[in-house]
Amino acid sequence: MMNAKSEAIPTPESIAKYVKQNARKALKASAMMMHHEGGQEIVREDDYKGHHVVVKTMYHITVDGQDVTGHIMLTNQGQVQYHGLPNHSFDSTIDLVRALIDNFPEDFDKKKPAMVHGGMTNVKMGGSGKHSMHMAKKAAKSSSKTGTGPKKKPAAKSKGAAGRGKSK
Amino acid sequence: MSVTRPNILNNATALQKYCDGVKRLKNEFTGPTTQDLGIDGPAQPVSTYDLFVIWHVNAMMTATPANGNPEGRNAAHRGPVFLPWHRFMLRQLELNLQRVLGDQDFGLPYWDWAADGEGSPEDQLNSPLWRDDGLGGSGDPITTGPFVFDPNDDSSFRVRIDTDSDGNLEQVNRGLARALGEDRAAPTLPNKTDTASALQSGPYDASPWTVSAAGFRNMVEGWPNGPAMHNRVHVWIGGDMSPASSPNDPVFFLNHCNVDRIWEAWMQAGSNGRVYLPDQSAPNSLKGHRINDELSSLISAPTTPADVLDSTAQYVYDSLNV
Repeated sequence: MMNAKSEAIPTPESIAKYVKQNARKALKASAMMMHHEGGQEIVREDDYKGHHVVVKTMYHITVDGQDVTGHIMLTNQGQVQYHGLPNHSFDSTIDLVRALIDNFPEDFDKKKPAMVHGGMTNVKMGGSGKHSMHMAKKAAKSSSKTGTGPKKKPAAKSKGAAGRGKSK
Repeated sequence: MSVTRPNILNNATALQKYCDGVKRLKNEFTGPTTQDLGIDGPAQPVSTYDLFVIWHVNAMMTATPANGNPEGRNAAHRGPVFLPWHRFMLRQLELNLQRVLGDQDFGLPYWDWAADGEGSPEDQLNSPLWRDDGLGGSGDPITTGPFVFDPNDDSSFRVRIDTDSDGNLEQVNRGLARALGEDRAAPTLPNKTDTASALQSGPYDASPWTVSAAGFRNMVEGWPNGPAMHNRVHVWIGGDMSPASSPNDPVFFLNHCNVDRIWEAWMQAGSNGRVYLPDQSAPNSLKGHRINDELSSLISAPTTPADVLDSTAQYVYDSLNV
C-alpha cells in the first residue's frame, strides 16, 4: 500500500509548496557530484582473500584544452561511465569522450579555441562522427560567437547535439 | 480505487489521453522558477512537466553514499532504489495526468519494448509507436507526431530544460530530438529472451549493491553486458533520451512503466514475493537505498521503498506477460 501523503491528489498549490520545501535540499545534495575542475580521482576498493585492495585512478580529460568536468564512474570491471550519458557504458575513456562529442557537439564547438593546431580554424569540417555535417554547419553558423574561456551558461538558448535538437 | 495501466499500442484512447495530458502539464506553471531550482540564466517559470525533468537530474546527481562511489551509485540509479524511485516518479506523473485530464480512471500506459524487440531492426524502427499518430519519429528536432516544436506557437511542445555535457541543468528553447537505432552501442531493442532471463534472476539485489551486483534490479536496469534492458531502450532511442534530462522525451515514462511492469511480474512470479533488499540494518553507506529510507522527492511528500512495494491498491497492469 502506497504512502498516504505521497498519494494525496496533487494540486498546483501543493506542487509549488513541495518544490519550495524540497528544492534547496535537492540542490545541496546534487551539488556534491557536479563538477571536477582540474581532474577527478576515482577510488575503487575490493576485499580479496583477506586482503584489502585500494585502486586510485586520476582522470583529467580535456578537449581542445578545455576541461571536461562531469562526474566519471569507473566500475570494478573497468567499464567507464559518465553522468552526462547515464545509460552508456564504455570500454575506454577515449570512447566516452568521443560519445560526448557526438552527443553534445555544440558544447564542444563553443568551448573550442578559435585557433588550434597551428592555424586551423574552429569550424569543424568533416570528421567521422555521425553528425559531423550537422556539427560543421552549426560551427559555421556560430563561429563568430564561439568563446574561448571557461564555460558560462547562457540564457535560454537553442541547442544542437547528436540527436538533440536545435531550433529557434 | 485501482486503475489499469494499458499497453499503449493496444489502446488508442490511452495514447491520445497520454499525449494530451503531457502537453497540458508542459503548459502548466504553478510558481517555481529556474532560479528557485538553481538553474543559471534569467528566472523563468518552470512547468509541471519540466519539474519531472529536474527531479530526475537532481536525483541522479545526488551521490549515495554522499562522499561518492561505490561505483557511482546515486539517489535513483545504479543501486537498489532504482525500481522503487521510478515507481514513485511514475505514480506522481499518473496522479498529475489524472488531475489535468479530469479523469480519475486514467492509467499510465506502458510500451512493451520487448515485443517490438522481437522484430527485425527495420521493423523496430517502423513500430506504430514512432508514427505520426503515435509519438512521432526520429529527427533533430522531430518533425512528426504530437510533440513537434513550432517556434511560432508558444503552446507547442518544446524542450526548455536539459543537461549539458558536464551534466549541468541549463535553459534551452528547442524541439525534441530522437535518433532511433542510430547508436552503434544499441542497434536493436531488448527482446522477450531478455525479459524472460530477467524474470528468472534473483535475488532482488545483492552486495555490492552497485552496477556490478548480481540480481534482478541490476539486470533490469541494464548494466551487465550493457547497455541492456532499460539502459538499452534509452540508448536505442537516443537524442533527448540520452542525457540525465531524459524525461524530456515523453517516451521516458512509457519505458519506465514497462520496467515497473517487469518488476511487478517478477514480484508476482514464483517465490520472489514483494521482497526488497537491503533492509534497514544495512550500513549508512547504503543510506538512500535501504527499505525505509526516504526516496528523493521534489513535487510531493516523500515515500520509501517499503511504501511502494505493493501498488495494487493504486494501479494494476492489463497484462504481466512481459
